[in-house]
Amino acid sequence: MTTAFFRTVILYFILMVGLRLMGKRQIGELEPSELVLTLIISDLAAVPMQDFGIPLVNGLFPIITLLCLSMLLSFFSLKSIRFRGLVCGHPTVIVREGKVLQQNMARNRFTVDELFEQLRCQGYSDLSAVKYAILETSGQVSILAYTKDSPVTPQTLNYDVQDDVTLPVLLINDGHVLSRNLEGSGYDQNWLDKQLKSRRLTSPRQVFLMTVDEAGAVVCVAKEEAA
Amino acid sequence: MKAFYIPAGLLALILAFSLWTGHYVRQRTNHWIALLEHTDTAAMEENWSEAEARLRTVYDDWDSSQRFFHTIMNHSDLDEAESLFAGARAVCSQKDDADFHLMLAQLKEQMHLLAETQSVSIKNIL
Repeated sequence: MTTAFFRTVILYFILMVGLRLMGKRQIGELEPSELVLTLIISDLAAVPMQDFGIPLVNGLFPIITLLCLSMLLSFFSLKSIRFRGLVCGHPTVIVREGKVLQQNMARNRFTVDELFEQLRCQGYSDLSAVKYAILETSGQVSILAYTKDSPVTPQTLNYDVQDDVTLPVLLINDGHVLSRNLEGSGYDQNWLDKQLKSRRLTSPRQVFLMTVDEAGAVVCVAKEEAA
Repeated sequence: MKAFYIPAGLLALILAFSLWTGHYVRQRTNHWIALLEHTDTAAMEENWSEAEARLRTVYDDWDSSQRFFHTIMNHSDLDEAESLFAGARAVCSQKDDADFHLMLAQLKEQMHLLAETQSVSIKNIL
């Protein structure tokens, strides 16, 4: 079992280093440590499940070891910027003022095809419209356009608009009343009953979804069989 | 600091349990090997009733540890030892000195192997 413990630790770090060396483009949306965890845990869980000759603890102990290692990495990443850089890497600028930084692209094994794919996905057909493109540690590309090419907002036009964005709070979820949300929004059961009655509903069980926002606007969707 | 102490504590616990398991298995197998050597001595002295009684004692002791052993070790390794025990009992009842000696030697080697699988060594880890 000690062998399993040490093997797990060694494999975890080898895979971590390997993925860091592979560069960000292989990672996708997961951080390297998360990907390693996902890869190994899925395999570790499958082996004792399929082979009854292997004791369950031989699968469980490595999984717990991996989860603990992952938690420790998160802890040290939180405490130390240098450690975080070592584990997760740093964002890399790959386009600066319309100019592709080839060395940075090569260092991350990021191809021109992938760059243009990302540009197209984010609605840019012309490289010259991009002021900065940054390859994030998650493998995603953030694109910052020149101000002249950025979408127009009321602020750029000096329009004074009323802020009407409010956060809706879920009060009924598939027939279940979320009492904590109801009280947290400053309402009670009587208010809820009135709301239901005004919509010709007799019970929260008939409601699929009900929300209320900070302005007091209620959205109610009845279940299809009750509607 | 809870985010550090809980995983670090769990890791320490797993490591400690693993080391203890290795030590325990080594201790138990050494005990059985010593008993098997006594059994072998009795057989070489042609004292077959004593050899049979000693072999039964070793097997009973072995059998009582099987539940724990099956939770920490590969079942095929334990099944191998189990079949060697059965073979040794059969040969002992036939009072065949040469075969019994050979069977006990294989059984002792299997015990060494069981302890080896749980020990901390570079050979095992790599």
